[in-house]
Amino acid sequence: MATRPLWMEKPHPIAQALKVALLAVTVVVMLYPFIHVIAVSFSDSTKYTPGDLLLLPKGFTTEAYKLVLNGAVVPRALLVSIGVTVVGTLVNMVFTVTMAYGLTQTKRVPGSRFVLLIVLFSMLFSAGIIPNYLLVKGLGMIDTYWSLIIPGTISAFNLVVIRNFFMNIPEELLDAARIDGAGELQILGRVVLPLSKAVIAVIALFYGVAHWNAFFGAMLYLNDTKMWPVQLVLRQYVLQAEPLPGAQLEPSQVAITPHTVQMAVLVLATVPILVVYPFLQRYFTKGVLTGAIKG
Amino acid sequence: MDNVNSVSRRLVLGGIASTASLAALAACSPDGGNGSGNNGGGESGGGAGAAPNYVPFAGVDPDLPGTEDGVSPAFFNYPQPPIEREGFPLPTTDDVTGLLQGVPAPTTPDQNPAYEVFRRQAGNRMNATTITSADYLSRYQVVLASDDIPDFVQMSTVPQFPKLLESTFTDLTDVLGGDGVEKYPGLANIPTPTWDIPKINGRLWGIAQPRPPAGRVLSARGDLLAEKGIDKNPDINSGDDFKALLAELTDRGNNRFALGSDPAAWLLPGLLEMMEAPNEWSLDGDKFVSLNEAPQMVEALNEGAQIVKDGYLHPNSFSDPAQNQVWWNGGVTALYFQAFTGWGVFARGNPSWDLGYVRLPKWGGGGKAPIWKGAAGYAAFIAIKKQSSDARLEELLRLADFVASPFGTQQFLDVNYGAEGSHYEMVGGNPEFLPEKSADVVAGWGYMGGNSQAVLFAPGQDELVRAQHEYLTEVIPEGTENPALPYYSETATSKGSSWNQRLTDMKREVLRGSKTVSDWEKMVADWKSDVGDTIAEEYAEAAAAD
Repeated sequence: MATRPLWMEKPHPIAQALKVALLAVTVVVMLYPFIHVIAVSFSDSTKYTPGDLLLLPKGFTTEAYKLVLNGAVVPRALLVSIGVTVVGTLVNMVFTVTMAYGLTQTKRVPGSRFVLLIVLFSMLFSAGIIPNYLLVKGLGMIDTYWSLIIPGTISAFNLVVIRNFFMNIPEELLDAARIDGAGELQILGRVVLPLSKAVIAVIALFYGVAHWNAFFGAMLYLNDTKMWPVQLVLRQYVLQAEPLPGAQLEPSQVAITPHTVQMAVLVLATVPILVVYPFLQRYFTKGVLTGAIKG
Repeated sequence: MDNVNSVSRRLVLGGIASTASLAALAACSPDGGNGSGNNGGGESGGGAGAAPNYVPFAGVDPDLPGTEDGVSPAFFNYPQPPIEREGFPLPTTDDVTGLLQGVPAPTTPDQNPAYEVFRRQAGNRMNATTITSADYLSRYQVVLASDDIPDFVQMSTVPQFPKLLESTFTDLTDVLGGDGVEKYPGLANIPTPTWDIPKINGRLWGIAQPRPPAGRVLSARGDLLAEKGIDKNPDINSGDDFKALLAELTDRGNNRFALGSDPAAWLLPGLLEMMEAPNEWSLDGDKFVSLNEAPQMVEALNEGAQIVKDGYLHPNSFSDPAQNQVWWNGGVTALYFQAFTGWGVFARGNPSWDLGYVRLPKWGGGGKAPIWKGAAGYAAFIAIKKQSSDARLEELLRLADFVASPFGTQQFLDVNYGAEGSHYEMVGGNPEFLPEKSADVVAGWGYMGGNSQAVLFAPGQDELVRAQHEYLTEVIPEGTENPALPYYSETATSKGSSWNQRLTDMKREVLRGSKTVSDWEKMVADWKSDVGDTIAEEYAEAAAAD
């Protein structure tokens, strides 16, 4: 158990109580939406009225999950999302890391500064959805999973973050490896990457979460609903009950999927990505502390 | 190199050109994916053609008759046995594709018995991508920008709309006009006013889903009104009566409010109807005059602001109007402005509500107010891409005719109810969805002339059917038409939508009390000089050419 340093005074009980209260409120504000969603997903759709605030399910039942998981669409969409997230993140990391490393070698790679400028330019100006669609179509990727992966292979922001991290690795270490006869790929794999686990983990998580949450690309590029990822399925379920501003609900929208089913899909769409966080948490801590106590 | 897969300079430049020409798509029609309802008339030629003949389906006798001006026929029971249409299943044809609004069924088409039945009857896989109306516009933009246009596309009005139609889609005027439509009995069963929707520049560019042109209705939860000792169809006779009703239904201490919808989108038009204001536009001789300039608008804004101030609306009506249905479902609000088509759906889904309606009175007293009539169908009609031959076009129209199968036929059940035993059962001779199966039927295609919204049918709820029929019979003949509805204005489509947004925002601010009516009047003057007068002239030109 951590002991209080000698020079630190014992906190005032009121201050401590306030801190506890503040933290408790924060925890409730953060956790309540999750608890509510989970409680609704396990509620009986005939007993739950939209708008009720729940802590516990109303008439506990797993019917919503049975309906969702027996319906074939959501289980398949979950598999699609997992596949796209895993493959997509791998592709992202391979290309982003190798490019970032190349761009650190400003003396060895001619034109690397110009390339970096082009990358930064893409952060400020994007092409828009129609040129992107035409490009994806021209590359023959309509109705393929690659349309969800290739257009965002390298995120300029993530590239800059990794490059800056690599720039802080002492050049002497790389020179020592070169003197020992290592090639650039060996240096990257055996020297640079082991020293960059924290940033790699964080950026991989950024990419992974982005793939997991993405729905817009799938909506544009995939005609076959069997290929839709879970977030697009979820969006269709939730949006069907939302009228356009100033418009009325369509008759088909009034017969909406019960809220319990919507919440069950929401839980299924959220849990897999939440599971990843604890495994990466230690890298976050390390990432935050990296460089903090350098003299 | 394979042409399909090449990314050439031409492709990139083409993309830029497409982007430029479609830049205004993003700020498309004010009603987003819902289409515009601006139809017919206009600038380019072609000449007006005859409207398709209306030949009501003769196989069934409605219990309460429909009328040519839009009162729907009503049925207390499904005809027994359902009538088998001649020539079905249709002969097998090459698969068609579609881009439609709708929510995909939870069960994938290949494993869904509803799709199996639908496809067997159509003789075609009827492959369609369906996107919710809220997201539809994004997908529609990119599909139009590519040369990858499906056979059937649900249309949304965009700038240069007539040119888009002429360049890419099939002009159906000579195919379906007059008695041409009689080759397709399902399409011939579509009432004449519905064909105004896909009519642009006097030519026919598609097929719309027919609905009664009944505009909005103020539904009332009879169970909540009964708690206050009020009849579910309260008989009110003036603006003061209306305000008294709102007051009686509001109990802020117990989180109960009379209304909850976006006040600018629903309350204000309701007040304008009561004040007998023009339906968006009126005619002064040959000149079109906007509702924005009508004296009733100022009065309605003042009265609306007072109603808001008095607290009869849910406090989040301005900030979170999408919750309106949640409040209504939860009994927080007792009254609900909605489209006529929503009435039957809510009544059938919630019999315990004992749903009624408030027939709005003239504001100053002296009878009931005329409703504002809407389009006689869903505004986002379905157009057919230019086809390689007349024979192929005929195959596609046969498919549309199947989707439009009239009420009373087996094919109507196949399109709208799915597979018997899996999606619905016949209970006492009437189709009844099995639990959780109503969302699992074929999505989207019903917008192509589907007959389900053009009849009044609620098995076991004869009183509801009678009430709806009585309501339509009363309101449609004396409803106020929008004289601009059949015409297309390029300025309204290109510049009008951003102005509409500004005007709506201003109405909202005035109703909320943060701006004054004189601010509104100043904005209307700017609107008139910038686009309003031009729009009025374009409508007048289109009307003169019609």
